[in-house]
Amino acid sequence: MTHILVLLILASIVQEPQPSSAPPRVLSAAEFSTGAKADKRGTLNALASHQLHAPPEEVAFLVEAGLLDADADIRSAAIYAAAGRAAGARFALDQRFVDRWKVERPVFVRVRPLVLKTLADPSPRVRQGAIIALVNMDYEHTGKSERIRLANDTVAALVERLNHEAEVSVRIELAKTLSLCQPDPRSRDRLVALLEEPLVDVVKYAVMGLATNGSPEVLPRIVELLKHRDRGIRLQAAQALAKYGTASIPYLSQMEEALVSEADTVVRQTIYGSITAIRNASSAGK
Amino acid sequence: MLNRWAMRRFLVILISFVCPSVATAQSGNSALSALADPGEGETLKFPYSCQAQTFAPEWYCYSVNLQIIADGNFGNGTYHWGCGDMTFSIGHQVPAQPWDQTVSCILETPWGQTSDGLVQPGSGPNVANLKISAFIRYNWIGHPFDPFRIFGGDDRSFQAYGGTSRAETIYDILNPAVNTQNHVAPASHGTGLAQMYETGSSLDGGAGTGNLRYEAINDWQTGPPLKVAWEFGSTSGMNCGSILRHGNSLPFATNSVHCVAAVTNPLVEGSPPIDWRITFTMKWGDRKVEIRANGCRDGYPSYESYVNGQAIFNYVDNGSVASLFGDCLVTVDETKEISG
Repeated sequence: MTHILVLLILASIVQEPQPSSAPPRVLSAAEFSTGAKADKRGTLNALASHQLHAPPEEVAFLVEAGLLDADADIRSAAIYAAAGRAAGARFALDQRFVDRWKVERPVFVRVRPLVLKTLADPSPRVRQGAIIALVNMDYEHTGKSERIRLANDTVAALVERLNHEAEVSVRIELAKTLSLCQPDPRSRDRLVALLEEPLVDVVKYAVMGLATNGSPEVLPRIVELLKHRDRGIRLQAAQALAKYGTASIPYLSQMEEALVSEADTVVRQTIYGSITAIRNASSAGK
Repeated sequence: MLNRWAMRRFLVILISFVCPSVATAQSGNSALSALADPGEGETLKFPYSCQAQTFAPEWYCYSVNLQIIADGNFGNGTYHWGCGDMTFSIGHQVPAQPWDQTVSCILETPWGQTSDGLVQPGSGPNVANLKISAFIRYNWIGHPFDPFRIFGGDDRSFQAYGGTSRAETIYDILNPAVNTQNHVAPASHGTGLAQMYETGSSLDGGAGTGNLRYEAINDWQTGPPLKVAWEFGSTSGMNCGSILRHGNSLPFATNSVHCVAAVTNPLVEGSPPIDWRITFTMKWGDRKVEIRANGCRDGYPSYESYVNGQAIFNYVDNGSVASLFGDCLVTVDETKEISG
């Protein structure tokens, strides 16, 4: 009986299920170039999500090596690692991340030209990641809540990229970045041109950006967009008109017409809210 | 194989009815390509054969009718005329159906009728209503870097139907065993309304606590106080590729689709995308569909997937917005059976 029990216990040990695949191994800078794809991605993902801590030189080296990899999946992981390291100070709301980026940032300066170059990567996913990385790398941690002021070469590179970019998702990311970051004369001109784009998300961000820039000469075009077939554009046009305040008073009748014909609940409420806000601004003499 | 003996007067009838789960299934399957319906793909057909023998004196001449009937509908039949003992056979391919079918072989003779039959199990549901979504389970979350702003969440738990999401794909995929077409309509992709609020005026608990106030949720005047800005995220990074048919292997038909999402917060510059890149492989047959979801997702927010209202996966968020910078870093590998 004892023998049977021992055999049963042994059998249960032998039959213990083994993990089907090992988790990715974190690679050192020396190992990276010869590492397996899964390990490369795992290492870069760990960097991106701040689960891996390494000296700044090694972090920069790993990101550089990843960006130069022939495999688009690795380059994608590398560009998001660059974005994630830079964004730690901005998104994590944790002083340790802020302190870490202060140390890493001077070293990361050398990676920046490569990130700018990555805006022309063959993979759309990598190009989109490059925009996100550049925005976060330009972030200055001042402790104040304000829009990111893009570096001069970033604005130039993004505006230039818009001239060539055909991929929808990347084009939208470019428009979003130029729209939401601090106003720049070069991006403002580009946003005016983007109002005539066929891509609805690009037009939406152009409207959003121009309202922040305060460019009243585009108001007639923005009022027209209240009739656009895309609800996101109508939603943004209505909010933009409210942001222009009393400058939008001449367009109140067109807004009321749009309110009557609007079928979408959120857009209708937004147009109504904007009309109310403009009237309030008018009576307050703003 | 089912054998039936029947004896009427001096005659003996033997019917041998072969169901497709035995060896003949393979030959039947290989014949499918020649018999496939035109359209986007081949449906599944179950090959049946039926043999019968009658025994009679040599001087006795008579006619018989041998036929295969599926679900009461005539499939194939042949008349035979002869004298004495006779042997006949018949074959027919019965198209798969989402429901169970009764398949019968019937022999009609001058001295009566005899039959044999079996039940062919349904090939799973006619359609798989696939849903994939990512949602923020909280009433609100902090703005990633601005303490004076917060974002509205979806304020819900896992649910197959209803509720808002940050990103959602719905795709009605047709059972390839019974349909030549691949889908009911193209996949639909949607994003929830991103809503940014002023922290101080929008929460009922004050000082960053409590839930969003009714007045804040229903404030549609842009700028502070209360709701500050709102917009739908772009669906340009969401798509499902073509549905691939991987052929039939009785009693199953298999297809797959690869769906991806990369959706960023439309109100925050440089925000990382919510990602998923998942292949759904569906094996239909034997009254069910077996679904394998294989790919990757981010660790944040919560992710869920359902087929016909039954969960394929439910993943609670594990991390924060910052963890979205990892490039689709969490593996997805789940297999579930959904009954038809």
